[in-house]
Amino acid sequence: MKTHPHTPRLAVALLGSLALLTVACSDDESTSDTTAAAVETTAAAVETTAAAAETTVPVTDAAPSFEGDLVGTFAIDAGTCDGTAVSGSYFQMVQPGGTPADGPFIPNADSACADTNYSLLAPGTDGGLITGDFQAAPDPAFDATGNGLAGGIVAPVTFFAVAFAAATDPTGTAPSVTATAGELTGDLSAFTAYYGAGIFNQGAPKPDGTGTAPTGTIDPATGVYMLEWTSLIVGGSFDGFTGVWHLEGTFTPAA
Amino acid sequence: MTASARRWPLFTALIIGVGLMAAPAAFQMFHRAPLGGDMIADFEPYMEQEKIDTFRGYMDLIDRAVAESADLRTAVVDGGSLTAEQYDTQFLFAKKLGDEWVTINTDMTDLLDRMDANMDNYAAVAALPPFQLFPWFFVLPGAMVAGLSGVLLWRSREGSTPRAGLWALAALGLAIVAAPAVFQMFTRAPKGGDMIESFRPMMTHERVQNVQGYFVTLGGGEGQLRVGAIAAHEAAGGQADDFPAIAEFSAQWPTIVGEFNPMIATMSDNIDNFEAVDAMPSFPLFPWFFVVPGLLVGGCALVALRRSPSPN
Repeated sequence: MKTHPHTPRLAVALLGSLALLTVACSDDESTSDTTAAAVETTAAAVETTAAAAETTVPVTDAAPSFEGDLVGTFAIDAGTCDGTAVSGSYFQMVQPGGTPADGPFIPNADSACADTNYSLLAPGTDGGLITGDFQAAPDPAFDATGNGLAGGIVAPVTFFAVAFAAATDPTGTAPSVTATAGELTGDLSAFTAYYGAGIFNQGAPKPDGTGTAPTGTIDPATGVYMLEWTSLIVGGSFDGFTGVWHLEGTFTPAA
Repeated sequence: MTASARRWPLFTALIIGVGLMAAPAAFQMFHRAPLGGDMIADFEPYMEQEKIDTFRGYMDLIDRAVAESADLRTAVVDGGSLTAEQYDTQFLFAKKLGDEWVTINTDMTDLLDRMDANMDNYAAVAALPPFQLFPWFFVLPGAMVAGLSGVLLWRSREGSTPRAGLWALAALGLAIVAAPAVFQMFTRAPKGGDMIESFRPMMTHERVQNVQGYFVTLGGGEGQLRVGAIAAHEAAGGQADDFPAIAEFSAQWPTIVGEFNPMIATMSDNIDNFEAVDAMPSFPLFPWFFVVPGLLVGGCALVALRRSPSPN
């Protein structure tokens, strides 16, 4: 392999210049701290560079780990609320005539959030959403009072005093998610909600191909993802309402 | 007697037979009648006195809870933990429930009244032969009349018409006349018409959307009363037991959701079915769709018999 004898010195010079530039551009109040940190960083860089020079290991860009069809588990980070800020995974229900962006939403008094338009989601017994396979609802899918019992994807969520549950309907297409340069899309048409003795398809796109596919992002290196979709309810007691699903977490490929 | 004078009754019977065969297609009965059958089947769980009484019980319970919610608001405000304005802002859906309850109660009670009043009518319609078969009640006799008339017409070209065939045609006409009586259509069909008339105002998308909205208001209100307002009352030193109807409402609410949910779904999913049935000819006319053609066929057969020479 061809080596460049001047490379270590050149790297030190560059890092030193960067450190000086950082000091020059920083606020007055934090200048001393930043300068110290920059000096430490530079010193560390020198050591690292020296070590690199000794071993002369070639540096290559890491290839994206999560690209193409992602088969495995989209583990769900539980949703949390801090004041009106919501993070992690959650669900919202848009009333007929509303929009996912502006609502109006159905307020869920059982929500743990101050903004009860958000119902937080927590991982189910499978840890999250599995692609390439189904997570069917149990039979029966409800208890005597209509609480949904499916608990693989997310833990059942109390909504209007009754728990709704989610599963992927085995009569549909197995869930699939594809990553392209960090962007997610896929087919979650089998995604189904169980609530109050009613079964509501919440797929994206819908099983008949209407609606839009889920969208999201994934860090190709870490698998940290965000996946969201909306799904219009057609028929049943919530005909015309729209479910908004937002999942966050980390993808783990199937073994 | 000319040949044409002997043949025109048979030709008329043939036309009537073809008309009977074509009627279901003309009225789109092959599409609409099964939808009516679906609607009748879907409503079955709700067209029972016990179920209606259960729903009325829920409405009564909610009525008492809403009445108590006004007292709860007063208690919380008097307790000093919240001002009246803060209460109404914080428990927006509890307030909304109180404000809109009269409308909700009136509308929902009207739905229950309509279902209650049509219990007998529903039973009469449900006792009719399966809706899916309705088109065939026209097609099969029509085909028999047309087929027999056609054969007799063909035979009459040779100068004589088999009298046995004419008697069979007369009997067929009589059977068609009798069919509505056999199936008690004269009593049941008008009841079906009454039910369609009574259900028409409630089987609309607008009405179902209103009910969906009531569900949101009820659920939101119940939740805020349970999670927020009662808790505020307790924080001010009160007890949840001070408002037993609200406590019972909250305890019953999951069951109410489980009962109302499928009923709203049944209404929502059957609007198209109802419209299909409503677009068919009026129910009370149905018996006459058999009686009139049957009489005409029988009459034609008798006329042809009179004009056909007896073998003796």
